[in-house]
Amino acid sequence: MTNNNSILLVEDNADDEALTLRALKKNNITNEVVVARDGAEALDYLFGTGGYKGRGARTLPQVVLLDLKLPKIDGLEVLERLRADKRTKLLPIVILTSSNEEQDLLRGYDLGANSYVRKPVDFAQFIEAIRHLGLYWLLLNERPPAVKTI
Amino acid sequence: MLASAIIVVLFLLAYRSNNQFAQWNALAAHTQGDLRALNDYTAAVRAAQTASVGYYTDGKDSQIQEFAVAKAQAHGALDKIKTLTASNPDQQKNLATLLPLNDQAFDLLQQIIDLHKAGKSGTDALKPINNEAKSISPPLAKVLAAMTTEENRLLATRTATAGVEGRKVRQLQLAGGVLVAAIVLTLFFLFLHENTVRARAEQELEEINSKLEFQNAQLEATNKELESFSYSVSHDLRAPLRGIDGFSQALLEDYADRLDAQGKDYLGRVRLGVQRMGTLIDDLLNLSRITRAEMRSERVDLSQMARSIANELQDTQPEREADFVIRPEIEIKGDPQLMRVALQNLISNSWKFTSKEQRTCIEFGQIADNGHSVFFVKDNGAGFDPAYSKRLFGAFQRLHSNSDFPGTGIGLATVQRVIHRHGGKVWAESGVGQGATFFFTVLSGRES
Repeated sequence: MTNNNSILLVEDNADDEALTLRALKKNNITNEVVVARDGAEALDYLFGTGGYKGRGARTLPQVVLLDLKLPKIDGLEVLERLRADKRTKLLPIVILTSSNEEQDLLRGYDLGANSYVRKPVDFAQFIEAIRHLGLYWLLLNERPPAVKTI
Repeated sequence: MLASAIIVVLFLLAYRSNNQFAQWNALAAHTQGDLRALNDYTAAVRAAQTASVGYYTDGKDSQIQEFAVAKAQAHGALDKIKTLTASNPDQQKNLATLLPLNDQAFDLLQQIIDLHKAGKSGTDALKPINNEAKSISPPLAKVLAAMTTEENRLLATRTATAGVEGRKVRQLQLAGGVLVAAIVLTLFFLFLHENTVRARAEQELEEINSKLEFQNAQLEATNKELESFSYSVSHDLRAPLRGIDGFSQALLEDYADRLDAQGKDYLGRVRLGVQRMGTLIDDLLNLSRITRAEMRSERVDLSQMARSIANELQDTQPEREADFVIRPEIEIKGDPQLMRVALQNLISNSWKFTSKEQRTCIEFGQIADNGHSVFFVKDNGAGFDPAYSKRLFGAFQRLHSNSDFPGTGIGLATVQRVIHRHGGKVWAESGVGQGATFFFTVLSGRES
């Protein structure tokens, strides 16, 4: 298993996807962005299953930006499954959501999220948030070493 | 209590009667013993007489022996009578008469035997003895008859009394039995009645409980619904807003050259509308959170809280001249987070509505009303028309235009919910341009 510098964006809302991509671009973050539009797709991508069978679970993104309210498998369950798997146990995961409900915050951290960011309504603030996230998770933060697998 | 007392009394009476019955029975037996002894005595005297006279005519040695035996029996009977009648003075008196007569009688019988031993025979020799015997025979018979009669009389009385006492015992036993049965029956019916009453009460309680459970379930369902509604509001309503704002911004940035000033102004207004709606949604969510939040109950230092809120407000606008008059050591029992939300809203309100005064004066204090503590936040701000004071605490109700004093109209609604959850009341007094005073109470110690 190896790491690369990509970002996995798990987002079902096309507007939010476009805005996030725009915010990344505005902040000159040029890392490859892979978008999964529901929880099942995110898991398939990371574990190399389903539609991503050919990909093989060889490379992990540098950070996962995970929305909570998702079709099929919701964000918290995705997080739970990733943390339960040896390969993705240490993968940096940032919850990026509209909700600031206490229950979501608690549950998110409880399941092992590395960070929890609420998407601001104000786009200027949103760009600012993405800038901070990019700076921190893509540049400042030292990612955990790749897990050795057979 | 009374029943057991009656039973005890009955028992004691029965015990006493039973004792007397036994005593009288014993006395009757005693009398019968006396009578038997008297009979024995009479029989022994007769036997002695027969033996003595028989010896005089026949001269058999065995008859002397028979005489001796009869004499011994007579004495034995007398001893018995003596003992048995010891407590009866009449019989003692009779006995005192009897004893010398007895001695004389046996003396005479002995003389008859002695006559024969001296070789005398025939009736002539017996004449003096016979004469003497004739003189003691009637008194002896008389005294024996008297004694027998007395004993018979005693026997009759004692048997009768024993019978009476026996009846008494039986009556008491019967009465006791009836009473016990009555008590047992009464207790049984009381028990039945009690059971019926209890069963009815339990049934009613159960009905109330199931009703409560039903209502509780409904309430829980409503709460769940409210929660999922808030969740949707929080998550789903904000997402399109973000889109509107984001793409308006994108238009402004990427297509600025193709937009004139008016187009840009319109997009600016779109974005302002979005901001305002975002704030409204957040305020609404906070309001719903106030209602749903778990209540804690602990000591809350309102004075310290007010002081810290005042400092924060002053920090946001350091240039404003403001006097905060905060009475120290105002403490209540309540939820610190919720109370902070309430106090924050009240003091921020005062801060906002005094923004046009030259010098802001905000006071936090406490007064007593009929022994109850009333807390207040008073300012020298714009105030409001008291005619509309009732609308103050409704959600989204505003008494000032947004351009004069911006706001969503959710603050006082939030304050009211917090205060209500603390079992208190909130009200306000003011006049236009006269500043405003907001009062509130809390029911300290109330558990949620």
